[in-house]
Amino acid sequence: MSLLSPIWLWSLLALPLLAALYFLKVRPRRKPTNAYFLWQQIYQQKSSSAFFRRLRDLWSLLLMLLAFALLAFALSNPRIDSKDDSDLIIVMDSSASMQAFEGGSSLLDRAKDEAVEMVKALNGTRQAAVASLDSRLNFQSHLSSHPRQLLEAIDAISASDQSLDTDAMRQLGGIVAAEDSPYRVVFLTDGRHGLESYPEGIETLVLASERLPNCGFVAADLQWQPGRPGVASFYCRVFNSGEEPATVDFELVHAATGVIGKYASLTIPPGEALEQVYELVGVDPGEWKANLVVDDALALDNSITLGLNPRQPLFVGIEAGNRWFFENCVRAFARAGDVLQVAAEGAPIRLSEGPVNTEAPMRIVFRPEGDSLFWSELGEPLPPVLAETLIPEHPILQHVELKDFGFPGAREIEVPPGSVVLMATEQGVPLIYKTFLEGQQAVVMNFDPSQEDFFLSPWFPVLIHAAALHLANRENEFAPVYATGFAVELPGEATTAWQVTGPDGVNREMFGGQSLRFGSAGAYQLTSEEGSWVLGAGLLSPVDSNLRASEAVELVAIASGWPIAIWLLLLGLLILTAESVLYHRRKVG
Amino acid sequence: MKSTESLTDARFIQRLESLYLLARKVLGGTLQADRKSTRKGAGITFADYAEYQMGDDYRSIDWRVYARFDELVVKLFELEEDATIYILLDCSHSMKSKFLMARQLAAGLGYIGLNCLDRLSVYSLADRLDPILDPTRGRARVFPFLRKLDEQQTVGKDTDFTTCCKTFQARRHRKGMVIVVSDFLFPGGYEQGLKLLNWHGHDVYCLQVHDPADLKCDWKGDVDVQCVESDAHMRVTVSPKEARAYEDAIAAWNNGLKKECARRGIGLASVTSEVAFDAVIQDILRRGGLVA
Repeated sequence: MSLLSPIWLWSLLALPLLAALYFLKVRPRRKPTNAYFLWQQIYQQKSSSAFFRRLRDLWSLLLMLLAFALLAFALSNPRIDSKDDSDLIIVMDSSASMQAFEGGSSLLDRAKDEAVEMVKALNGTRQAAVASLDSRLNFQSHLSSHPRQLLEAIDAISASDQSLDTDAMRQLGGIVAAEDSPYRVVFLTDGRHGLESYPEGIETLVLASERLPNCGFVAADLQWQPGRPGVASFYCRVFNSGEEPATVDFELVHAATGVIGKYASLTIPPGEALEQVYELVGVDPGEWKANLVVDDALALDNSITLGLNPRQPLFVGIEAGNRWFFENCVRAFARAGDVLQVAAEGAPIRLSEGPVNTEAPMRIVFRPEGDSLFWSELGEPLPPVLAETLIPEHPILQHVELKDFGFPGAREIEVPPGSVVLMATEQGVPLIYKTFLEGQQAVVMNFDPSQEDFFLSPWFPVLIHAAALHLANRENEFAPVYATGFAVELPGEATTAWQVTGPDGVNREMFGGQSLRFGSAGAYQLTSEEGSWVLGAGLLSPVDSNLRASEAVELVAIASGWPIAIWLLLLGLLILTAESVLYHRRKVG
Repeated sequence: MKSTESLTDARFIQRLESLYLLARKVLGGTLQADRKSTRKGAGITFADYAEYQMGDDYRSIDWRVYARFDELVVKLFELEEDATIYILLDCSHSMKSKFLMARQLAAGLGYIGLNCLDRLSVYSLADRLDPILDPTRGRARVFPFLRKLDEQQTVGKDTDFTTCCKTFQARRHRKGMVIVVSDFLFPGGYEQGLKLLNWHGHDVYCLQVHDPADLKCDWKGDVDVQCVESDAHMRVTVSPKEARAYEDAIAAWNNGLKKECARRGIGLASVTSEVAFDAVIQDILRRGGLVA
């Protein structure tokens, strides 16, 4: 046996004081009587022995002292050291599928009830912690033997809109994987996860039925059709986890206007997914909602929000002697979204060759020549060079292959301080670099594209396209819908401000380079200097929508029972009650 | 003692006077030594005839009867003598709560007795018998008698009624009316004492004065019960059961006194200290004396 709070044993020093107070307390009041001899007769008739009467106060005092000692020991919180003294980690699956209803209550509520029973069974005899697991492992409480603290932590858990992340699951497995791990992990789940099996050592309690009837979107997309203004295509994949074919009505509604873009009836075979593509003619951009009109176990996957954003072209001005090649490069990707468009004047992006004589916020310069802000000194032309990619994952270079390109016409060049050199010669002469000066940014290509047939190379339009999108912070085009739990990196520099409004209506300021995580299903509004986008987030999880449970690992019984302190406390109270009944039944009055 | 409770207070004496007048009205006559004796002797009130015996006063022979029946009979007359009243006042500490009442009763009875020209003696009962008022008679002795009563305190330790009765009998051979004013809570019992008084030919009357608090037990729990007389004490736990046992015991004790008095022809009146003493005496007078 060990004492968790042995300091309380010091309270035993109060026993002598208690004894003194006791004798003061039990001194009875004197009651003069005129018929004392009658009282004598009455008590002579009583059967209690004189010996007991003499010891009466002593017994009473001993009982009082024993009760006090028991209370003192109870405060010291004794524990019987058992073989299974490992700390318990109660992990509750809080993934989206736990929102599924079965028998009038959600699976999460059922998990909470089980967790509460476990905590009550522990009764403070062992330390435990409470955690939730969805896209990540979240500890809701520290290790504690305080039942109330654990119950509050359980109560605070709510089901998220995100899927169970396999990495988080493995992380959980890592807790018990270590040899001589002091932890037992009990995982309360509905059995829907992306792993082939649970990590070893995790005791799993599956709360759901073998199979629940559910229909839900597991994939969706909404895009403008290239070259067909006002025409969009909607793609969806709907899964039926039931044992019977499901016929459900499907509708696609514009959130702002209420216009129904598509209404159809879908019949989905049991245990299979149905894929559909619909053409939407004359639709407005904005937020669209796809709904399945069905009453099933999981409501979260019956609705999905998608953003159909208007085309936002980037206008590019050509300042080059050989305009034809450059214009064709700009128009090269017109069919894939018509993002870059040639503008006669006032374009924010300037594509130039040779000297730079005008100012523009964004500029792509080929074959630098003359004086400019973007280079401090131009030297002699270089012989054919062997180029070295310094930042291969940079958005400008990630889709081009310039390893064997000789960079004809490249010259010795001095770049301004703070420039980011993407490619350079072995001697360190910059070949492609990005610089930012006086409110202008430029991507400088230190070579002549007219040589070595680079005008005819497929990398020429790709390089221009990538540089233009990068300068305009448009290298990462947003998808119309993301799966919950997914994160996108906001385009732009760290100084590029983004206003992000989530489904909860809360407006947050973020900056380029930061990750925007789609934690909840619904619509997300993103606004920056470059424009405004509506994005959707939905469950889109075949694992979560497929409400079929997996095998559960047998749960090892948890040592339960009231802690010794409670027993000691009860015994102390019982002794006090007995002492009161036997010796102090009534106040004299 | 407060002035209002003083036995020599004018208002108290007025109440005694009204009791005396009531006594005259109830008992009738002049009350001068008007106590009927059971003994026959010289007197004026015819009582009975008796056969003439040698030595009888021949002046008392009824010659008319002799003429008619040829038998010698003598007339017997009730002997008229002054009565002696003995008041045995319990002055033990157990009387503390009802001592005023007891003294008022003694004062009332003694006042009537003195006014009726009876001989009056008052004794205190405790662990021994002490005189409060030596034998005396006449109205002039009223105030000394009342003053003595007024000055009397509770004394002694354990009341020994039997010993006191023996002492009384040793001192006073003259028969008379013995009025015992007490609560009769004698640890040694009352039977022997009453038996002694009765056996010696006294007309014994008992005036039992109760304190209502003595008749019931309304405190419970751990108590140190202390005897008011001997200071002996014992620590007990009084439960409702014990409280009931005490009430039953004191009720049985009082019933035993009643039966004992009835068995011996002793008059008994039980009063509580909450009743006015003159109302008690009026009741006694109207009932024609103390009856068991």
